[in-house]
Amino acid sequence: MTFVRKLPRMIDRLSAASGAVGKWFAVLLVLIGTFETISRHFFNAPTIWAYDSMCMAGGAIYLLGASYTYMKDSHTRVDLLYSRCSDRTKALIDVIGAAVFLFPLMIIMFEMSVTWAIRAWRINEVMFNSFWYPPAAPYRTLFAIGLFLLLLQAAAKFARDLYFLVRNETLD
Amino acid sequence: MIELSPELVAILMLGGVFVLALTGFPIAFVIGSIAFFIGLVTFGTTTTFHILYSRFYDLSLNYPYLAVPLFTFMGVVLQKSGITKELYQRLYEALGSFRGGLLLVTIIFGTILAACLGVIAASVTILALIALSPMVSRGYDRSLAAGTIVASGTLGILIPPSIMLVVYAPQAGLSIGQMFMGAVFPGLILSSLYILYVVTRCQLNPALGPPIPADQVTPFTVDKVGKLLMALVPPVALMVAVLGTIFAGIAPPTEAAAVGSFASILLAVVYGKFSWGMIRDASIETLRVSAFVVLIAALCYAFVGIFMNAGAGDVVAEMILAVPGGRWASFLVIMIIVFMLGMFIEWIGIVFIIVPIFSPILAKLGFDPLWAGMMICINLQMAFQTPPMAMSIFVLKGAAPEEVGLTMGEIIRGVLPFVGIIVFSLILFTLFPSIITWLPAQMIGPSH
Amino acid sequence: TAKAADKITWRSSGHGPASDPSQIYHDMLCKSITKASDGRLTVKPFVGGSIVPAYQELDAVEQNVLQMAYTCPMYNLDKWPAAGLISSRPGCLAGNALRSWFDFAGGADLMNKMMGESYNAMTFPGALSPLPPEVFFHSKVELKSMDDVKGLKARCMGDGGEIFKRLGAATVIIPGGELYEAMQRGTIDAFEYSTLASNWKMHFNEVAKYVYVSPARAPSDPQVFFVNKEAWAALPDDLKELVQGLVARFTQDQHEYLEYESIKAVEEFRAAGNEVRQVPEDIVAALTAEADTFYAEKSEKESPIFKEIYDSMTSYRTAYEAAHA
Ligand code: NA
Ligand code: NA
Repeated sequence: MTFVRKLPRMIDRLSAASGAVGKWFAVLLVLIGTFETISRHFFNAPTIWAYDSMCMAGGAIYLLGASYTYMKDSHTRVDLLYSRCSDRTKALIDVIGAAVFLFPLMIIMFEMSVTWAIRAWRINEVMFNSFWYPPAAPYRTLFAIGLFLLLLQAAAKFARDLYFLVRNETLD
Repeated sequence: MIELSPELVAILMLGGVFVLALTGFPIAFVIGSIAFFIGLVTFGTTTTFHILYSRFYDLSLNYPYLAVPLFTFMGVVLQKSGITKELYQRLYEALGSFRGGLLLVTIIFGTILAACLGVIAASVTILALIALSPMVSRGYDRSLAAGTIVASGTLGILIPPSIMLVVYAPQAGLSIGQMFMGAVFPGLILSSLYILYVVTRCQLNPALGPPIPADQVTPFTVDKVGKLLMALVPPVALMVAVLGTIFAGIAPPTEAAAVGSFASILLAVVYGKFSWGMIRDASIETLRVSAFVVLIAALCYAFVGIFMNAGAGDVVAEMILAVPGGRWASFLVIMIIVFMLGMFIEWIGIVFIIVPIFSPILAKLGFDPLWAGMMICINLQMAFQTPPMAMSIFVLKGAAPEEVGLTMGEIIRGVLPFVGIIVFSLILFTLFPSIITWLPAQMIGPSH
Repeated sequence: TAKAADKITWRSSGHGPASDPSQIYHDMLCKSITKASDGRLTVKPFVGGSIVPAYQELDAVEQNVLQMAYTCPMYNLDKWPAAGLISSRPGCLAGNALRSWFDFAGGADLMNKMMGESYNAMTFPGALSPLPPEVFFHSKVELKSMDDVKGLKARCMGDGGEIFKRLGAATVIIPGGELYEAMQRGTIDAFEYSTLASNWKMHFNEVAKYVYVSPARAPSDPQVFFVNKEAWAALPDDLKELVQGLVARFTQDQHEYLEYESIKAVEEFRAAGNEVRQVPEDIVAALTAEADTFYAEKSEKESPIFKEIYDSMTSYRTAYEAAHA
């Protein structure tokens, strides 16, 4: 039981780690964009890899940030009514909302992302925005991992909200 | 599978977003799930899953969207380095002795910030942190102060660089660079009208914005002017870095945003404000903001796939084209729809849902796509300030210092006249479309 | 009118924006099938990107999200490297040569073989519409010989980009939508995009003085109709006949129409003050030779189907040239 009670906090740490890793892709993005500009403009030496690398770095930011942002409760809400609710009502909204709006959709998106990641490894899928043709499988896999972490974080919040609703005390 | 008529799908999907967003559950999932359930009912599992996943995945690799993390990064570095605070202080020293002087400072400062930052909420946050307390503590009218902060802060997403234009342009098949140029004069005109408004109000009723007491006024010295000019250097340098990079052909807009971010780090170094902690903070903030922005964008993009597959896009288009009274009546309907949506839905959701539907209609009706796009963006800029879903108002409420104790009612009362000014300006830009189209036309002349 | 029970509905998508000629011909075909079958087969047309992201139409056909799609083979390079051979392979088959290879010399069969037995989509003879050759380059600088190609900052996508890089050009990757401004402000000196007619509509005459034409770089970027195998098998024979016949007619119509439009566009570029020129012989020769080396190397490395398609197209080129010499 104590282990189960510790789970949400372990998931929080996972989301924090995801954000900690993901944030460096923002720095990478700035550096690649600047490098490409300087290399092309001042040295007449455009790269063939900057374009796809930037796209993938951006994707890594969004996907690794998804669970972190959920943990921070930063996904935009129309909080017109929500902000006026009591903590228990908020918990109720979040429990029902997650059950209806988050889990069905995101579980399917995760399942699809796994299917397509496996396919990408199997057929050696490439990206063809440029003639660099980088493999798509690593990014497809990262995409699946990002969604998995988001689902874990959503489950942790769901457990906390449900516990609070039932027991009227916080889980941690 | 149930055969729902396209009309019913249109009503269920758009109405569903309106109503279910109000539950307060994170809007990205609400929008995605509406598409998910309507899709399941109409097309079954395989089609729905494939459409949603393929669009979600595709948007996550979108090149123009990289401007979201890049401009956020630049904004946070600028804010954390204290460069912005310095500028406000210098402007205040220069203009504080006029009636409503601090309001003037806030608008000018907001306009300069707008030309540096392009991210939602960045300018409003900075103004709330820096400008609100000085005004309230000097007896300025609280509503007028709040309204001025919201309106001039929101200019940040209109005056380039601007995330909103960056998101809008590729959706409508327009060039980001041209959209940026098209927004310059509308942004400056709005800023001037705001100044005209606050100055007039303070002239009529000095109690709204009392000047600094005469005994506290320091003489206007060369030294002061020098300091003001020095404080203006960093933001001007950044503007040159970003817009200059685009204009001089050194890089297209996305890469220019990277150059701007890099330049903001260099500025912090030059001003002795650099620290690794600042980079860490900027990147984690970038991660947080871009994750929620792009998740909304991705799920709205997925939403559009289901909406179009059900034929609902055609229904909306036919409805608008059938409005009696010719093309201007249709245009008015489009603007009203955007305004109404803007009261309830986040701007990104609106751009993603309406642009694919409205752009072809506007083209069919013979409107200049750049002009029409800019009109919609100015309208969306107003949506940030129209309750109940008013991002800028929320941000001010969230960022306003505790001790000021600003209420929602005070903010909304202060904002409404500014909304009126924006409506007035939209009429102005309709009567004189060249305010929007002149500058972009200058940059696309034949080059040989 | 057919009984409700016999009615079939297909969804079909092009890959272009609404104004793209291939999208227009796609839409006309869909309406024509619906009309000619007297409503027994309704084909709903969709614009590229409206259901699944643009260029991912074929996977949607495979998943039966769409039953038909009209797209370029090269947009499937993510799955099959050989798809690039059929699309605009530098130095290979142009226009009618490509279509006759596809229809009569085994091209359609090879494409089906490339996609594989288990891939749930197929094509058939008559389904390929060749574009006229793409403009070789729009350029700000005069290209007199290979020396001018060396170090040329040119936007060039696909295998052609790789080949030009081997020839010493500084190949830049920029999305099509940003080309105009990139040229205008000097980010790049030259670029390739599409055919004369399409490029004229993009106002490229305003950003580059020279229009270099030659089929050598992109002889003929073709669009191909694909259908879902199960949806196809479920059609009664008379409807199969009808669909195949109309597809063949509209692909041929589009080809002829665009040839005509390209010829007109040359006049329009000239009238706008552009210089429309032939690409110098040595550049064409160098490009063709480098392309042959590039693909010969590649066909040794890739899966057997790559070599099979490569050899088939190459020997057809030799035969075609012998017949037209
Ligand atoms: Na801005
Ligand atoms: Na609003």
